[in-house]
Amino acid sequence: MRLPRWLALAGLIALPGCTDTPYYEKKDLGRRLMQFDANDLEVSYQNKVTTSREVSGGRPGHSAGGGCGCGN
Amino acid sequence: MRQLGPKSPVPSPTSAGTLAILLLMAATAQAQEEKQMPKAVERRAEADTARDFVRLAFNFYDQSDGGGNEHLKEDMTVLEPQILVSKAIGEKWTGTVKLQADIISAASVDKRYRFAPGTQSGASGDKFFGIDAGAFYAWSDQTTIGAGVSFSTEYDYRSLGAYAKWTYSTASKNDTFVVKASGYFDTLDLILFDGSEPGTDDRRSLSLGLGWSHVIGPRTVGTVNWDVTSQSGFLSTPYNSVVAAGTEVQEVLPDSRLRNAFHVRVRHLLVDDLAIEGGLGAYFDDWGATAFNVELAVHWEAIPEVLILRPSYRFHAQTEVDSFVSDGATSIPEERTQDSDLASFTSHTFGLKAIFPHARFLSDDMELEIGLDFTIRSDGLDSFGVTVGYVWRY
Repeated sequence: MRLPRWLALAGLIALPGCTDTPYYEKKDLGRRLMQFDANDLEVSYQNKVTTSREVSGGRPGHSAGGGCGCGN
Repeated sequence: MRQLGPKSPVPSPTSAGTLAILLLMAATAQAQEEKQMPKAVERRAEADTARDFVRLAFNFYDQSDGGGNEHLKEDMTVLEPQILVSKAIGEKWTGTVKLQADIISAASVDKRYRFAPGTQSGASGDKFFGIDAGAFYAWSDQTTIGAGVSFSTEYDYRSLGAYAKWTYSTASKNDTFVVKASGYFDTLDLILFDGSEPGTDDRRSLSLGLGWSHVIGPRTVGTVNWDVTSQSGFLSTPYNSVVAAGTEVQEVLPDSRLRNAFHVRVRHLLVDDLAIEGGLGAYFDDWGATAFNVELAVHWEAIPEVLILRPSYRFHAQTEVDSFVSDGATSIPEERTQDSDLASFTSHTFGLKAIFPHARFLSDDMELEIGLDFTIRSDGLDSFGVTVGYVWRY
């Protein structure tokens, strides 16, 4: 069976991620630019807008529904 | 005249002096480099790890009725102030309190034209107030546990919630795993589209969220999230109605729902001052709705330590729920809705945020941010939002 091209490409991209990056190479990851969801209030607001205006279940890491009468 | 011969193992005073000068120069050069390096690093905004801070935000959201459900006026304006206080309690504990209010103005049930002045439904004019208090404990260098409770109230809605969260990082800090469980227990005062009030009902939402963040490389990080939610109870929106077959009836939706959402995001530091982020999201539930979204964002430190710009784009597409009733329907099914947000549509959201991580014109310990976003929906329910935020690290 032939491996689909997109799967092979995804594998190639993911491969470097399987090895641990040593601590001394992580300096750039401590930068503000590299932080996911650093602002709790922003995520909370976006989550509320998303759950009330779409079916899609909220922002990553946040549950859909409950706590607000506007939720879909 | 110098004699040729084997080199003495003891350096001559001249060569020793040269060596000393070279070593000194090398040491000085290294010291200068070390001095300069931190400066170069310091010139970039570092991750905000403050545990003692007050974060304020004010959000404005406005939706215009350019389509959607033709039987409803769907203009809506929301004003939302928020405040989050975080306080370190000793070395291990951190406490947080979040307060939020919504002042909602909407004409979604056209109430003011149907009923006597002074009456209102939950949608025509609403105020939401919510409080969330949490405590987090650093169990070890690798493990943090936390829990919290929440309460919110609206004109016709009250909610009690609780959550617990466990975060574990591997010793190498290359991987972080998060497990979060939450539950909401809501009570609704039923105020139907025709003004009748048949009593109260309840809604339960139980969720489990799993997250995995991974350092893909020295300049690349990724995160994967899966969130599953089980809801039961009264899941319709009380004031929603369905107009079909020449009559108007109450919205009726199933009394249980299982929802799954997956997200993958990758962020890569492309050059020193610019990171790009791509994200994919997929959603499906047992009401027959599926959704897909793509997100792209650029995080650009335009002026080091002074200004970060974040332009973003999000595409969203969703299918309608099985019980969606189209305008031309000739009969009224047992389960039915015409809620525009449960219909099939696509949307494009364009955003721009400006963050001043150290608003030096105020104080080093303050942060300021201003954001704008605009959403174009295929059903005409376009919206825009404005956010102003402020952080004080005390």
